[in-house]
Formats: sequence, structure tokens, C-alpha cells
Amino acid sequence: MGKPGGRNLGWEVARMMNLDARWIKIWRDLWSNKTRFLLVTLSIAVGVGTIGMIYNASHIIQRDLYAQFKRGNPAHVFLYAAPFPKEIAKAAQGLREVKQAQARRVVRAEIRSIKGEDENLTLHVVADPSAFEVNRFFMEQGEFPPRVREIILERQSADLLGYQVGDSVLVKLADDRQYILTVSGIAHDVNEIPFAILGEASGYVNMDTLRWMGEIPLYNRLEVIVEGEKVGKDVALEVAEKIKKRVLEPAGYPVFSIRIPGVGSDPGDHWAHNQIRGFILILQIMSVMATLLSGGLIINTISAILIQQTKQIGILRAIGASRKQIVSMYLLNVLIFSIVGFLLAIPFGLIGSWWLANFAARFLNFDVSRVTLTWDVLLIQFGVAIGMPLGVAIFPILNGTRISVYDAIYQFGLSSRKRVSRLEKWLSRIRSINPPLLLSLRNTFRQKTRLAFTLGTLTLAGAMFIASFSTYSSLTAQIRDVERYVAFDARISLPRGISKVAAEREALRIEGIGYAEAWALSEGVLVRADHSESQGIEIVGLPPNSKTIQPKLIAGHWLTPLPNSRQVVVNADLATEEAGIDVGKEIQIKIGGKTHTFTVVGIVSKHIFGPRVYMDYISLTRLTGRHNEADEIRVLAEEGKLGSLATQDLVAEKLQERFRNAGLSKQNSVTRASFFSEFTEVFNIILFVLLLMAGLLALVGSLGLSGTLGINIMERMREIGVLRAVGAANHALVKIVLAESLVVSFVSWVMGAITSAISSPILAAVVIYAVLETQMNFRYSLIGLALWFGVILLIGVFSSLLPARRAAQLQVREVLDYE
Amino acid sequence: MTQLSVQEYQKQYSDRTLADIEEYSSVSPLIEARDLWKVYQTPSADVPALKGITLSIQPGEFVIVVGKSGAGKSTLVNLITAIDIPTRGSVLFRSQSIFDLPEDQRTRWRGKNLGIVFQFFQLFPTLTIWENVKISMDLLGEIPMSERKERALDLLRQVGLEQHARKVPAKISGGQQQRVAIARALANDPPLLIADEPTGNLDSRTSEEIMDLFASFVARGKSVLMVTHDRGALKWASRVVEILDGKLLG
Repeated sequence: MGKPGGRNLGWEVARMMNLDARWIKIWRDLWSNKTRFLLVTLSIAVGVGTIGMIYNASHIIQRDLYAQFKRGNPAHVFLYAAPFPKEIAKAAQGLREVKQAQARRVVRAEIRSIKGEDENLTLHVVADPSAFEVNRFFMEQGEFPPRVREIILERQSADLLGYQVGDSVLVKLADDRQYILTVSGIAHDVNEIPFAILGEASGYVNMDTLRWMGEIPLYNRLEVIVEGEKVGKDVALEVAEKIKKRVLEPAGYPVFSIRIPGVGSDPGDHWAHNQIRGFILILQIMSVMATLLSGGLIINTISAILIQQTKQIGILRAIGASRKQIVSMYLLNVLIFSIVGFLLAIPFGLIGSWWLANFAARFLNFDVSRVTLTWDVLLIQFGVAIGMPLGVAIFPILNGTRISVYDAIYQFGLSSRKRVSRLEKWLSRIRSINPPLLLSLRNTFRQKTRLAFTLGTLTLAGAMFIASFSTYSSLTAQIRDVERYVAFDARISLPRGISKVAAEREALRIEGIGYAEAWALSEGVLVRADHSESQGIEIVGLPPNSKTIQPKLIAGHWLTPLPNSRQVVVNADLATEEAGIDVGKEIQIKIGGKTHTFTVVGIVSKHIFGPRVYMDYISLTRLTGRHNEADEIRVLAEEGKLGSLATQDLVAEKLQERFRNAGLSKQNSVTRASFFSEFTEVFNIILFVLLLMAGLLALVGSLGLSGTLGINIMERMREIGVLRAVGAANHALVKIVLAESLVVSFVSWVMGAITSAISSPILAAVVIYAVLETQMNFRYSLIGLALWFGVILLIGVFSSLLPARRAAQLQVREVLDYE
Repeated sequence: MTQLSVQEYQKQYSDRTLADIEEYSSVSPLIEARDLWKVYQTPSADVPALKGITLSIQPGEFVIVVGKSGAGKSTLVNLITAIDIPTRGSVLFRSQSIFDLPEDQRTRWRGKNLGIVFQFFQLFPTLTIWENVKISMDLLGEIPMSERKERALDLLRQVGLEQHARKVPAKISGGQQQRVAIARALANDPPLLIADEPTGNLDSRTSEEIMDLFASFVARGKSVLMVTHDRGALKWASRVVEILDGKLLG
């Protein structure tokens, strides 16, 4: 209670309004405990504001990102084919199922940033700028189309590369041909995966520029929009197949791959549609949890208020207040919490949604037009802000006002239960426990509902904490699995025509490199039994006794050194994606326009970077007609041993320099560590978000525990007074409260450990699917379990500080007042 | 005269008018405790606090129940005010059995007909003095809203505290708080005032002032039932009843 004699705004408002004295009482009671008032209203505001933030942000994202994306008229399906003339697009558009088709040339290149670093670049050439209708981008500065030797840069690429209109940029093509282009414009292209995510810049040139750069003036990607309102993946692939069979292949242009744009998205959907949905789902779970917890806190606070005011309730009843009147008084109390919480939640939700939408906009490269408060979100917030607190508070209110007038006035302050539970009887039989500790243990289990709430909150927090660590652990375990396939110190890509023997020999001439191994790479498609084709799969030709891969077999065996044996090993990504793939079964793979039959001899663990097929190097080069050619060289400083980070950097530098000087490759080399750095960053962000959630839950759990201990002390004032009267010193009382707190903490840890066995795999599956669009093996984190034990002990100690202080401050005289 | 309830009276004399019934009520005791028993159950044994007490109070009577600590005085007050439920027996108010009423009606009955004064004053700490008096009227709702504040101030004037009306209880003395409690008890103009050790926490001069207030209340035709262990207060009573070990003496 605050100082009743003090005059402040709350008092004056109530006085001036000449309200019914019972409403004045409620108003002043609220006002007299500002900390509690703030705690509850803020907890409602956080829960309800989070709902507003997430729903408003998803409104904004759907309105702005998806609208900007749709404005660009996105393609449903891409066909990558051998260079073809633009007339092919017109022929494809002649098909009944095709609404629009557009030819585009995409060329992989590199661009030097203003800092002098070479970054990946995709150069785009649209066939007919005057009829540029599919996957359109919009100019922000300058004119479209660009003229010869000019380049338009995508705005995020320009920003991160550090270029502006009028700057000159260096562009390098695959064989290290270098060209200086002038930046003539800045475009906003929401169709492309942003530079910030993919690490690949986008630039737009005209065909004359490309011709000047030594490229053939033809197109290699057909962008197709299928007729129909909502086009499914199957339909889009079917139409693409038809274009391939009726238009491209008959005209002599083999199709290398057919791809639905995006990361697992449906045709016409934004490329990150599923990931955005996944993240919104995680955030929604978070908002539901925050709401549930604020509900819990309200139950606890209202219980505390009722217990604190039990005697006053008794007096009210004695002077004629009906139970209905008292219930309505405390419901008004909750309503005030709710309304203030709701009013705080509106700006919190709006500011939060503005922040979240802008965060997403920077990341996903779209513009936030405005932040608006929509009626539906406002109604949801209002419903939750008003309905949830009233809904949860009605139970303690009904319960707290059920007490008889006599008990309220004369029995308050003394635990008067007549029934003793079996657990308490069992506890009282243990002779070796000293009486104060026994009292703590019995106190813990006295109020089962309250204990259940506190345990529930802490258990939830623990389960979330452990689940967060388990999710991280699962992700890192997966990475460790993937590392087995990237078991080199450094790697460098080779241009076409480089001899395997020459490349390996050159690598082994470098001081500090003890092992070198060349791989051949290709792309193909799986031909299914019904003759349909899968999306593109990576085909790797490697020595069967490769030292730069440590395959983790989940079925069958690894490749045996039998050249031309037609054995393949597939990864679990392909085996999960395509039905009917198993050890011993035959599969058909189309490589370079020809279909070949292979026998699956083994399945290796997931790679997460897509479906892959391994076969013997000689077999693959024979099939592709590129005998003794290599596409990449992988090296180790020491055979059979992975090098340290420093070794990797050194080896990579030497490899790059040597191959550049020898005219074998102008590419940058890649170390194993750099290959994983992006993954690790993403995983760390995920862990941070998850731990933030767990931390939030732990904080509320801690407040709940502290509140529970405080209420328990209030209820047992007489008992504490008696302890004091018989000589219990401060430290003895503190020990009793601390022991009670630690018992609850420990029990919640055990329950959290049990609950986490269920929550962890679910959370890991949801998060991993939302982020990586894949299913992974689950790994339970024992470190998380141990860490939570430490955290919960700290929570136990800190939660008991205030209540223990309160207990220690109680005087025998105060207890007499309760008589 | 055999005591009949109002309903029984109506049934037996169906030709009687409402005025007759009211007259019947006025001649009967204001409140009557009949064979009241209260037994507290403890794990070791049943402890009887009241053993068949019968007591009636007429309108305009000032009855003091005197007895030692633990004699059962407070239990008797709690049963007569229906704050607690008797193990056996009944309490009749104007011939109506109180414990036959549903709990909420019983509460309303208490608010309308009884003014209760507790030993520890039991004022609401966050309300001002006049608001503490007004809350009883607000809860019952029988006095028009526009008159409540004026009435509260008037009652405070009667107990000599008008100048403290805007203070909170913590700002006035114990004796003054007890006078506020009496003003609150009188708020709904009840016919009966019941006080449990009202002077137990006060000095002798303040106690005299409080007893004066009770006497003035009786002088206006109201009844007072007071329990105390202070024999000095007996001079104010029109009737003294002694209680010992849960039984009335004599």
C-alpha cells in the first residue's frame, strides 16, 4: 500500500467525479500501489501490443511487399535452356495454357565494389524493353532501357556496393574478361533475392552491351505466366514441360532445368512467401505466449490484491455489500488494468509493427508505405485486452469473494486448512529434516492452485529455454553433418576445359598443400516413372576414395572403385523429395539431354543445400563427354586431416594466387569456414530470438514466483509472528522463504526437463522448417538442460529476495493486529 | 404470548391488514436469539463457544453483554449479526428468522438494519473519513445519491468530526476513528447498533465520549447491543447480561 494520507491526481480525480465510494476505493487502491499497477498494465500492454505488432506488421508486409511484388507481374515458372532467340517466347505464348512468356538472358559475372572487393553479379538482359511485362522492375533513378556500356543496378546492390548513378563499375565475366560500365540508373527489383541475403548483386544491361562483352546475343531463360487464377506447382511444371516438348526442344534448344521461382514458394508467390509465413507463425506463437503469461500475471496480481484485502472484503460484507457488488468492484479493478493496458498496447503495437515492417523491408528490399491501424487488428487487440484479463481474473475473484464474512475478518493471516495432504503427511514423518526446512517444504505444497500457476510458468519458460538450445543444437548437428561433405581446407572453381591432371599437379606443387582432388560437376534432372522430370539436381563426379568428403551413410554403401559401373549415391534431400528412391533401385537421370539409368547403392545424410547425386568421376565425365576435365579442385594441407582456420586461409590464398598465375582459374578460392559462416550467422540470430522468448518467459515466471512467495507470506502472517515470538531471527525466516523458493524452482526444473522432451522437437521442427524449408534430425540439448538448472536456481534466489525481506520485517505487533 | 413469525401471523389472521402486521411487528422484540449454540471443531476436540443462549432486545433498549475474555461475547455478536453461522438455534429479527434468508439477502438485511462497530474500527484506509461513512449508503443504495454526501457530513457533525471529513483514517486518532466507525454504522439509519468491544482500544475519556454517543442513539428510540469486558461501561445500560463459559447467567 502506498501512503494513504498523500494527495495526488488519483485522489483528486475520484473526489471531483463524486463517484460511488466503492468505485473510489477501487481507484485509490489501484493508485496507491503504482508498481503493481504498472507491472500489470505493462504486462497486458506487452501481450496485446505484441499481437498488434505482429498482425499489423503482417498486414503491412502483405499490403506493401506482396503488392509491390504482384505489380512486377511475377513469372510462375522459369525454363533454363541452351541460348535461344527471342522469337521462342512468342511461340511459347501461342500455347493455350500460356498467358505470357518472356525471354531473358541471365549471365553470371562479378562486380568490384567501391571497397575493391569482387562480388557476385547476375546480369539481366530483357528481350524487348518496349514489351517488358514479366518479372518487371521499376526505375528509381535514370532511364530504362540502358544504352550501350551502361548498367542499371538494383537499388540494394547499388547501396551495398557503394555506387551511384554516373559511377563507373568494373564487371568481370567468367573467363576474367573485364569491362568498365557506367551506372545509368537505379532500379527496384523485388523479384530478385536481395543482395543482402544471397550475396549476389543484380544489374541490367542491353543486348548490345552484352555483345560488346563478347557474349552471344541470345537468351537462356524463358519466364512464363500460366493461364488461370491460382496456379499450383503441378500445373506450372506441366505447362513448362509442354513448352519444353512443343516449343524449345523441337526448335533444337535443349532445356537444362525447369524451376519455380522462389525458395519453395508456389508459382506467383513471393520468393520468401513460405519463410515469411514461418517467421510470422513463430512470432504469433510468441505473442500467444506473451498473452498467456500476462494472463497468468493478472491471476497472480488479482489473487494478491484479494488476499491483501480479504479483511476489507469481510468488512464490506459486514456493512452490507453483496457478493455481486464485491465481484463487480474487483472486476472494475481488472477492467481499469485492461483499459490502461489496451491504451498502452495501441501505440506499442503500432511502433512495433513499424519497426518490424521496416526491419523486414530492409531485409527483403521493399518499401513500407505507411503504418495504419486497421479495425480488425484493433478489435482483436481490444478483445484480448479486455476479454483475457476479465476471463482469467474472474476465477480468483469468485474464489476470493467466496470466503465467509467471519473467516475474512477473523481468520485472515492464519493458514486454517483442516485437510493435510498425503505429501505433507509424508514430509512430516521425515525426522531428519530440521523444522524450518520442513516448514518450507510444507509451505510449498499448501496452495496447490497458486503453486500450479507458478510451476506452470516456470515449466513453460524452462521448456522453451531447453527447446531453444535443442533447436540450436539440432541446427549445429546438421551443420556438422554437412561439414562431412565439405571436408576440404580450400576449394577453387575451374573454368571449362581445364585438365584434371594439370589442376591436381599444379595444386600439389604449392608448398603447404598435401592433398588435391579434382571433381567434375554437372546438372541434371530425375526422370520419373511417368516421364515427368524433377527440378534440377546437382551431379558430382568424384574419386570413389575421395579424401575431401566423409559421407554419412544412412542406407546402403558408398561408391566402389569400379569405373563405368553406373552406381550412384544420392543424398537424403533427393530421397525425401522424390518418391521411390531406395537402395538397390534403379533411377533415370537426364544429363545433357540424354537419359541414363543408374542403380542407387547408397543414401547419404541431408546436405540442406539441395538434392545431389554422387557418381564415379570417370563415369560422369564419360557421360558429359568431358574426359579428364575438372570443374573444381579441393585441397587439404595434410591428407586425412582438416586444417585450422589459419591453415585454411593460408591454403586458400596460395591456391588462388597459384591458379591465377598459372592461368588455370581467375575465381576466388573458398575455405571450409567461409562456406559455413553465413549459416552460423543465421543460426545465431535464431538462437537469439528463441532465447529472448525464453528469457521473457523466465522473467514473467520469476515475477510469478516472487508474487506467490509474497502472497504465501501475507497469508501466514500469524504463523510468521509466532515464529518471531519464539525467537526466529531474520536469517531463519529468510532461509525458510529461500528454501521454499528453491523447492519450487527445482520442481519446475524437473517438470521443464520432462516438458522439453515434447516441446523441443516441435519447436526445432517448426523453426527449421520455417527457416530452411527442410526437415532435420532432432538433437536434445543437455547443455541447455544444465544451463537452465543454473538459471532457475538464480531465479529462485532472486525471486525470494523481496518476500524474504518482507518476512524479516514483520513484527510481532503487526501479527497481533491481525487477531 | 406465543411468538409467531410474520408469515405465520398472516396465515393465521388472513383478514388482518398491513397496518395490523406492522403493529404486530412493533410489539415483538427487535431481535431475538433462541437457543444459540456454537461449537468449533478442532482436530483434537469439539470446543463449544456458546451453549444455548437465548436473548431478546426490545426497541429502545441498551443491552450490554459483559464477560471475561473467552466467555463467548464476540461469538454471540458474530451470530446475532449473522457474520457467523450457529451450530444450532436461530436469530429472529422482527420475528423473521435471519438464517432462513439466502446469504445475499442476509447481507442486505445486515446493511439495512444493523450498524456494526468493531473493536479495531475497520475503516478503509484509502477512503477519506466522509467516504468511509458514505460507502455504507452506496452499498445499500436506499438513500438517494444526491443526499448521501450531506448525510455523511451530518453524521460526522453528530460525532464531532466534521472538520476531519477530508482526512484519511491514518491521520486521526484511535478514538476519532471509532467515532467514524459509529457514524458509518448509523449511515443507513438502522434500528439496531451492535458494538463489539468498541472501547477496548481507547482511553477512559474517549471511552466515555463513545458511550455518550451510544446513549444519544438510544435516546432517539434505537437499540444498542454492546459486548464488553469493561464493567465501567455498565452504567450506560438499560439491561446488563453476563456471559460465562458460553452461557448467560441468571
